[in-house]
Amino acid sequence: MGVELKKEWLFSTRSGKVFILLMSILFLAVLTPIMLKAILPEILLWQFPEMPQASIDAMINASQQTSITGFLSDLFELGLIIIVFTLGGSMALELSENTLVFPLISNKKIPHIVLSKVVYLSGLLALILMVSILVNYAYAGLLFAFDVKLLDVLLSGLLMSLYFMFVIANIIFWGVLLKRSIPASFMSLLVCYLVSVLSGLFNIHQYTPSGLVNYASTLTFTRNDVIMSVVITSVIIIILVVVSIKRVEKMELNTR
Amino acid sequence: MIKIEHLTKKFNSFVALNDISLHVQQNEIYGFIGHNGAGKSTTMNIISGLSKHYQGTCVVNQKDVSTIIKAGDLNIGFLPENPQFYPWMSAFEYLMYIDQSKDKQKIHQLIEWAGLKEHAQRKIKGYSRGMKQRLGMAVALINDPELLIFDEPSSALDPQGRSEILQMMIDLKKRGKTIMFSTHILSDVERICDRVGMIANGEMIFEKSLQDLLMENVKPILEFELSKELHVDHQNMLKNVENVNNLSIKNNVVEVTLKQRRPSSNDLLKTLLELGYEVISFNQKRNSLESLFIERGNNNGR
Repeated sequence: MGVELKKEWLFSTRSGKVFILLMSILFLAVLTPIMLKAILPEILLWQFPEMPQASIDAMINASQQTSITGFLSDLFELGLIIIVFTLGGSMALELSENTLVFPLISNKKIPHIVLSKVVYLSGLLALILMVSILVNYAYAGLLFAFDVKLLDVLLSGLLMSLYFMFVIANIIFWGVLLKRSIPASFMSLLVCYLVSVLSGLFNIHQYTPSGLVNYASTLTFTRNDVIMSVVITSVIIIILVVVSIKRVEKMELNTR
Repeated sequence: MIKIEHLTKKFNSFVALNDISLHVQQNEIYGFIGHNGAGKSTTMNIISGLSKHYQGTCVVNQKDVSTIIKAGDLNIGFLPENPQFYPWMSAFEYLMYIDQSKDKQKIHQLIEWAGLKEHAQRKIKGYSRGMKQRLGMAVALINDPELLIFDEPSSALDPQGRSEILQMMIDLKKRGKTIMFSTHILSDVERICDRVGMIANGEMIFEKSLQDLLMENVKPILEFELSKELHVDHQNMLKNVENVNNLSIKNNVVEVTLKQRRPSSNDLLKTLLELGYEVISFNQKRNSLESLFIERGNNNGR
């Protein structure tokens, strides 16, 4: 599977996908503390010129914790769109453009091909996410004060990474099903937002993948809080990947 | 090497292949001819293990295709009609990715054989169609399979590109490979094939050796350029000469199609001279498989 991972690495770097994801997520990581420190107070002051500075500060509640939770929320709301549309064609294009024909005839295995995509893209996102969250942590700490434990931040990053693995499994699954990049991206996005909305409506976050985002955003969670969400998300990821593999194995390949 | 019996393939209600049978023997070049949409690619996809859900049997390299777990188990080389690579890789990187053994020397040899030595480090997205076809043939050879399936390898190429691909296939046959290739370019078939199978509208029309096919279907033509136009009365006299099938006259040129491939030129020359014509030039030709292709293909319309 090492060869497959190397291929994914070559593709993501040469197509500029790594650069797009890294820059976008880093941008959000740097922007959140700046928003809290400089831009939001200026906007409020411009909207309410008579308002005293103390009231503005109280409204914004600018701190390292607010910055990190804000960044994690932005990751779900904005980052998700960037990720889904950047990586939407990962599996769909392989099928629609028949690029799997030569590898499969030459004895490559479909499970290896699909798994390498899930593992590589999840790993890549986890790495970018951890780097960005550390940048956000350090920058917000410098601008305000270091009032959050680094371990809590790293654990939140891990929860978000698992959530993004669920997103990747979704992208692969819909890519296999629809064989088209844009529809697969839209369906993945729809599922992610729908899961979040329904979980909120029925208050079942702890039983759905969106619970990972919720708990990660609080920065203060116990193992018992998240264990159910982690287990259920992991099971869903496995199901999505297995179904995707089985579907490709039964698929007519080299179609026009 | 390939044994197909009563193969039927449907896409929903559309019957793409209807009860076809064909056999490809060891170390032969088998030409699989047919119009666009006749079912050539569907057949080749099934042979390569890429297309599932069919009726009938397809045995490749002594393996029943319906029982294989993955396409690679058949140990064949396959060049699809539109070979698709990763355009952001170079030919060398692509072959290294495909090759299980990671044998750099083998990759270099394949690149050289495909005539891509000077382009090995260039990204594939900059390759011409001919270069992609040659790279595809190199990829098909990566595991050194005995059986090679090429789907329209020369169809979209210019004459030089076509000639190169045909020469590569001849080389491969000399190396002991068995090749099945599909095409609708009949001159390619006449040039390199040992046996030919024709499919039209999903049905097998015939399967025979090229020699038999030419003997049975391709008629010799004698072309005479005369000093004057052939008189109408004399046309019937020429038609009555033994072995003459048909006459066609264009100004002073008379084209005589013979019934069988055996010498009849002496009789015809004698008759023309006796009738008082001076023969300025004489040329022996034969019609190609083209007419057979059109006739059989059209007769099988559904």
